[in-house]
This record gives sequence, C-alpha cells and structure tokens, in this order.
Amino acid sequence: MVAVEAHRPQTAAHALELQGVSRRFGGLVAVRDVWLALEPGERRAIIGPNGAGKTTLFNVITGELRPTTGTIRFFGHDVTRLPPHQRIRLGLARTYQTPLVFPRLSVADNLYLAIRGVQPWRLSLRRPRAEDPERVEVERLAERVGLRHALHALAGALSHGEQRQLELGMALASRPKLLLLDEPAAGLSPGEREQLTTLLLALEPEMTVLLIEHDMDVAFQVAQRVTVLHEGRVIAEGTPDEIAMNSTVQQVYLGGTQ
Amino acid sequence: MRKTRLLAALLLFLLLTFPLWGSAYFVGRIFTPALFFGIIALSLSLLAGYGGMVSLAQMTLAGLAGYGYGYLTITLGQPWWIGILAGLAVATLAALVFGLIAVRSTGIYFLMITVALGMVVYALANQNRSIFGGHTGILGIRAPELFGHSLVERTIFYYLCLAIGLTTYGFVRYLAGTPFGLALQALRDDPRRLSTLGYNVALHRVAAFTLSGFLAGIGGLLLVWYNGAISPTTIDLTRLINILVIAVIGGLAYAEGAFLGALVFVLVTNFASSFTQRFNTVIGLTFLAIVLFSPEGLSGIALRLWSLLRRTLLARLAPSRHTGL
Ligand SMILES: Nc1ncnc2c1ncn2[C@@H]1O[C@H](COP(=O)(O)OP(=O)(O)OP(=O)(O)O)[C@@H](O)[C@H]1O
Ligand SMILES: [Mg+2]
Repeated sequence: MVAVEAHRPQTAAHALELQGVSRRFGGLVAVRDVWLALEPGERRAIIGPNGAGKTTLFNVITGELRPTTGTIRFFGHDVTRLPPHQRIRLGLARTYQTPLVFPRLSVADNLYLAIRGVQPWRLSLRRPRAEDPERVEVERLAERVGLRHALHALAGALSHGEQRQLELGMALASRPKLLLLDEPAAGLSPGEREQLTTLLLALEPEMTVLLIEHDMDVAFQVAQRVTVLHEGRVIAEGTPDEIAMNSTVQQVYLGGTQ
Repeated sequence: MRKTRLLAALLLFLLLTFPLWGSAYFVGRIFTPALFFGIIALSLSLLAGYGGMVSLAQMTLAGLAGYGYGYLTITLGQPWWIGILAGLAVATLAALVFGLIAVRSTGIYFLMITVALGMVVYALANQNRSIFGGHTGILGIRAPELFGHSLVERTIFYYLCLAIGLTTYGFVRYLAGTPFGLALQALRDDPRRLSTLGYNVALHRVAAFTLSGFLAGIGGLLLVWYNGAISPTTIDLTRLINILVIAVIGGLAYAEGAFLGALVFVLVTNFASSFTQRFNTVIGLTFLAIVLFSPEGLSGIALRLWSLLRRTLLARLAPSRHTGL
C-alpha cells in the first residue's frame, strides 16, 4: 500500500505537479483534492472506473477547464491561470478520448497545423514550400504513426483507428515535454493496440507521459507507476504490481460502476 | 483538372474582352457593380467560408471606407491617395474594433452583434453632420484621375474592378493553404482543438475579421467612386443583409460564389424592378430557394453541373482521348 502523502511536493522541477486540485460541476465534485507529481521522463498511467474524473483532470491540466481550487505547476512554473494555448506552447500536448482532428483538412494539413502551433509566426500569410523543414517533418510524423499512405486524405475520411494515429502524430508534432493521452487504445483492434504499445515504448526517454487507460495490458506495459482515481479522488498510487494487488482497487473495480 | 483550367482560361478571356463585345449597359451597370459588390461579399466568404463567422457588418465596413475617402477628399480637400489610405485604414481599424467586441460569441450571436454594430454606425452616420454629413451624407465624391482620365470612365472602371476583383479572389484562394488560412478553417470546425495545438483562437478570429475589413474597404472605395456620393442609406439594414444574400446565393463556402452571387443579385435587382415593384420579394424567394435546394449556393449547383457535363463529355470523347485533348 503506497500512501498518497508520500508524493507531496518537493518543489524541485517536477514535470507536472498538481497541488490540491479540485473541480466542481455545480453540486458534483468531479475532481477532489488531487495531489500528483510526475518526475521528468516518468511514464504514469491513470486508471479508474467510468466517471472517476480522469478526463476532467486532463482538462484542468491543459487549461480547458479552470480548477475550482488548487495549483498546477509545469516544470516549476505556476500555470494555473494560463489559457490552454500558452500551456501548449510551454511543451504540453494531449489527445482526446474521442479523437479530435480537423475532418475537412487533409492529414498533412492537420499535422502541419500541429507543428506550426508551437512556432512563432503561426499565423503567417505565406504558403509552406515543399522544402520547408515543417513539410519534411510532416512526412516524418506521418511515417512514425503509420499514416504515410494517407497524407493527402481528408482526416474525416479516416477510420477510427487511423484518426487515433493522426491525433497521436499531432500531439507528437510539437515535441512536447509532457504528453497527455486520454484512452489512446480505446476502440483499437488487437493489432492496432500492439502497434500503439510499440510506438509508446519507443518514445524519447526524456518525454514525460501521463496516460489514461482502461486497457491494463497497455497501461501496465507502458507505465512505471499507476495512479487510481475513484469518484474524483486518488485512492491509490504505486507500481503496476502493487496496484494489481491492491485490495481497495480490486473492490472499486469489482464492486464499482463497471 | 485540365478541363477545369481550360474553363477558367475561357472565362478569363471572356471577362478580359467583355468591353469589346458586351453592351455598354452590361459592362457599366451590371458587371462593374457585380465586381465591387463581389469584393465586399468576398470579405464575408473569407470570414464565413473559412472561419465560420457569419458577419452582417461587411457593408458597414465598406461604407466606412467610403466615408473615410469622402471626408478626406471632399471635407478636408486632401488628394485622392490620402483618401484611399484613410478609407482603407478606417475600414481596417473599425473591423479590428468590431472584431474585439464580436469574436467572443459565435453563430447566431455573432451575427446579432455584428448587425448591432452596423446599426450603431448607421445611427451615428445619420446624426453626425460634421464628419458623416448627417442623412445627406457626403456628395460630389470624385474618383482619382490618372493621365487626364477619371478612373470611373466606363471601360477603365470595369478593368479596374476586374483587376482588383481577380487579385482579391486570388488572395483569398491563396490564403486557404497558408498557416493563417488553415488555422482559420480549423477553428471553424473545432476551436477548442485548435487552442490545444497552441493557437490563440480569439486573437486569430480578430485577425481574420480585421483582414476582412480591409477587403471590404477596397470594395467600399470602388462603390463610393461609382456612386459619387455616400449616405447612411448605403449602410442601412437592407444593404447589410444584401451582402449576406449575395454570399449565400453564390455559396458561402466558395470565393467564386461571392462574385457569382453578386452578378445574379445585380441582374435580379436591375431586371426584376422593370417587371415588378416587388423585387425584394424576388430576391427573397431566390434566397429561400437556394437555402432550401442548394445550401452550397449557385457555386454548388454549378459545380455539380460541371462535373456532370465533364463526365458526359469524357464518355463521348473516350474513344478519341488519346489524341491528346
Ligand atoms: N463539462 C461538464 N459539465 C458537467 N459535468 C461534467 C462535465 N464534464 C464531466 N462531468 C462529470 O464529471 C464526472 C467525471 O467525468 P469524466 O469525464 O472526467 O470521467 P472519466 O473518468 O473520464 O470517465 P470515462 O472513463 O467514462 O471517460 C462525470 O460524472 C461527468 O458526468
Ligand atoms: Mg474520460
């Protein structure tokens, strides 16, 4: 049993540090006093039953939702009041539970936008030329997530699995320091899951990754540590083995909403 | 692709030679206004087609450019080029201010705010005599003169409008593939997603609105030269709505649609008025028919006809295709 208290801040630059973060929706407390600290380069999984507040926690980290209480630090910076686009520019990237891509733009343009989003002159009035480094990067990214063949297809025409691949490519496009993945394996075929796991294991070692995952195979292979969320609260934290053995966690999963 | 290009070249040829074979009435009274209304409507296509922002204030912005030009050249007696710079600056700055006020809302609320802003300017123009000239407006506005020719002489003005129309059209098409244009299309589909890629969505909306103000201003200058005067009537509610009608008839999502819609609009207002007193009804019915039967506007219809035609043509020509057609 690993106490949550052990991970209270030692304000040295953690990649991500949540201090007493809560988020309410009217009467519902979706996230309740969460303390969380990620070391740079750490791979952490968040698991928990439906409605546990996992996605809400992500939204609070990116700034899409303001926390009701608490502080969020990103490599030592207090980002609690920063809007999403500024947090992203600091080196944060995310994917969504249902893939969010721009359906009426091509795969290449989706990736290109993601690359330009963290560069200056992102609203340039000059069309990219074939020899621009960003164009080369688009192809490299497409290759990396297995979409080389679909570069000129409209994103809206891709299959669900391919949209997940594209979104992952978009998240990697900014070369983030912290990558947030919301159920990246959901809706994927077993083969696609395996590819995903391979890709995640091959990520640059200095990249910090926080992933929400229902699929324990993926979660436990990729993550060194696991945090369990239940009704907005962190109920356990530890290595995959510790979590698998944890009786509270077993109770939540067996007797919970599942 | 090749055929589309051929068609475009043919169209361009016809437009370029139009004053040589078209009647003076069609050149001066139909196509020329269609071109400058088209430019104003194009500023809306840019906002709505790419950015999903349906604004009713584009005619107001165009009108402000006209007022700026008139005030500087007539009231203050400055040369024409100062009038042009001032007109464009006024339209662009007004768009910046409008943008800052309007961009936090979207959809129908955005539309309502822009129409409210338009009505504020209308009321101001009606009441203020020192700058706007009250409800008479500013009269006797003259277009620039170059080498002893006024730019509004029929053929010259047609070519001027055509050149500017083609340039602005080309610019808007080019914009689609730039980071600015791509991000604009992206925020139309999912502003939240764009913000989590690092883009400041509100800023981008303001920038797009400002740019559209500049475009509308160009159209406004041509309009005021053509009319030789500007008054609050030019920017009343009906005129604001006309621009939306033009863009929707042509197809909001297409840059071509702005000009096609403007041509149809000018034709209908010119000819329907000789058949019936109720040309507003005719416009209204056309508008309704388009919205009901082809939300993509005339451009959508034209596009479908063209691909149909091309398919039949190809089928006919199939045996002889290797002849290098
Ligand atoms: N924008 C919102 N407004 C109101 N309630 C919300 C909102 N977003 C989430 N909630 C509620 O907060 C709770 C937590 O939702 P959240 O989506 O964070 O759960 P989750 O752990 O991601 O669940 P799942 O595994 O189903 O994705 C749920 O009860 C949900 O209904
Ligand atoms: Mg979720």
